[in-house]
Amino acid sequence: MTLLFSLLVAVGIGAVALSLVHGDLATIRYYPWLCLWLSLGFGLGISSMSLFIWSVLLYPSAGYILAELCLVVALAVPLIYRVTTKPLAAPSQTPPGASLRSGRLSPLQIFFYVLLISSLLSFAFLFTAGPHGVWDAWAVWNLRARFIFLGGEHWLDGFSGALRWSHPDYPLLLPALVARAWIYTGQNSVVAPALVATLFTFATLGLLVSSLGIFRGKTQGLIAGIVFMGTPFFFEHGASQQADIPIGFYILATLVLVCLAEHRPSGKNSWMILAGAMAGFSAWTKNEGLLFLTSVFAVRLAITAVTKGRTGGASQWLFFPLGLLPMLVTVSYLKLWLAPFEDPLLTQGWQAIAKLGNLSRYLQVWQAFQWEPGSFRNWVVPLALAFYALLMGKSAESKERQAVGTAAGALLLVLIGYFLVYVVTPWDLDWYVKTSQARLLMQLWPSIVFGFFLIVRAPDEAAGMTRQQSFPGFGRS
Amino acid sequence: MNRLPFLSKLAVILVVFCALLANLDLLLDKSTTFDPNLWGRDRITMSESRYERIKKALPRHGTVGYISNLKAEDIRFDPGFGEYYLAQYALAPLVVIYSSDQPLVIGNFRGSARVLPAGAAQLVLVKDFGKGVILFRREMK
Repeated sequence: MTLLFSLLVAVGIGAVALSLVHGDLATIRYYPWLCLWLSLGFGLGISSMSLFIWSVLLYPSAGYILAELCLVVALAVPLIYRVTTKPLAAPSQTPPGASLRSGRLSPLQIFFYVLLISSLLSFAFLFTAGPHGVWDAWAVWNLRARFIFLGGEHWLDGFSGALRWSHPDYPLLLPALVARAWIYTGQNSVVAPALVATLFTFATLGLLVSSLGIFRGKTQGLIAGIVFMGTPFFFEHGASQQADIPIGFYILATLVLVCLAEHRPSGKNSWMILAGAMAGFSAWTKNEGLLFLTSVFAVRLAITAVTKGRTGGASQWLFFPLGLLPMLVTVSYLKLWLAPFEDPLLTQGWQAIAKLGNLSRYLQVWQAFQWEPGSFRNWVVPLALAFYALLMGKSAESKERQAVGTAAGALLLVLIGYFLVYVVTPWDLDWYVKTSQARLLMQLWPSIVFGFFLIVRAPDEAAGMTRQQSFPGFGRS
Repeated sequence: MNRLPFLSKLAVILVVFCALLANLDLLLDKSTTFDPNLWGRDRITMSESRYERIKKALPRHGTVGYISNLKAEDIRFDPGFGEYYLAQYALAPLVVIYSSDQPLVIGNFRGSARVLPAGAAQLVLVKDFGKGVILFRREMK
């Protein structure tokens, strides 16, 4: 129960913070599911960072719970004031969620729920087979969580140079969240990290389905969700309690919010602040997040330069760094002061330059990239997706064209970044590629599915239906 | 869906069917290998139970040494280093250093061998906690 309470507090923080940042409460009411998943990610990110800041200023203790509850109240007061002084306008059309709640279930919805139950069951089986997760989960993430929770005033021992093998400089979103759950429950059970893993895994699914429901219609959202659940490796990896699924969630959330800023220009600046925050949380989850947020920003700047700001999207990108700033400061503090960055990848100097000139390394990585899809466990779904794209064709929807370009460009840049990291890695290349490539691709998989279903024509579009027909209210702008 | 062109309908059916097969394959795989008797018998839980008794004899914070008769020649996947990482996980928030050069040293011995590694001659046995877990004290000269 205490564990669920800790979750509710995090979601509460996220929901209130999202409402305060976004401001347009009517929009939030129109998109309840999307906002639920965004609030979850936002709240978990804020809670994780708050615990870290609390620990640096004082030290990890049960007193943090009271501080967090005070934070909820402090955030809720201005929101309540705003709601009571400025009542929300009644929606002129049926809210978007209405079609989900009323009437019989469609065959697609039935398939979706069958797969959801099946995925939850598989997840439970995976958890019981390995309650502590895989190697990196306990040797890196949960070990750091133990130092935070059990260390008391000595929690910084977890960043000792003697533990270099466990990467003390890795970002702390996941360890801090697990430690936070343990602080709430008062014991370091295996349930807390498993619950955090479950939340991020299924929140990614929820975010994918709800966002595509808004951009391309409910049918397309459900199909994307079904396809996503047809990637067993995603659930196996989710249950392994590593940080790749949480970072995948924040990458997807960033791209969804960038699309939303274009889709609903009325609140674009606040969506961009939130997009920046989500990108920041990706960097607070894993080092790859730094590569991602740089890629998003670079691609967007390039698009703006090419279009010469014709679509007026340049100004909103000033708000992106605003949302990013708190996380960037926190990550910098961790990496520059608390656990100085000693990654051999970056400290190898000229050897890296020499490797960049070695063509055989490029070939070796390229071959591994081609081989890798097989290790997603079941590659029949991506093959089916290729047929799907062939038969459905390209969507004529052009509303989020720049955002789709940003998403595709950023993902491509991140892939190129991963490729180059492999080329210059100081570790044994063969071993490094084999042990990490599938999970690196898994970080991007939710966003790849999202981008795919944004680009490919939706069944509703093929049938000549508008989104208003498919979803009363979704087409509002 | 009724007004969908045939090819579009085919595309949806194909993709849903493939996803269904892949997902149910995972469920079938995991449910058939599931054994409730194995709960709590995974490698990490078993390792934690080995160190449960020695934890009470150790300080709550600080550093302790670690020695083992298991070889440690490679990173991560060598059984010796794997055991060391498991010891660190079980004993956190103590920092466990793979060295005998500490006032207190934990010995992790598998099998019947109790041969101390080179450089560990100054170690004095404090207590044998069973299951191959031994606490040593380093004699200061």
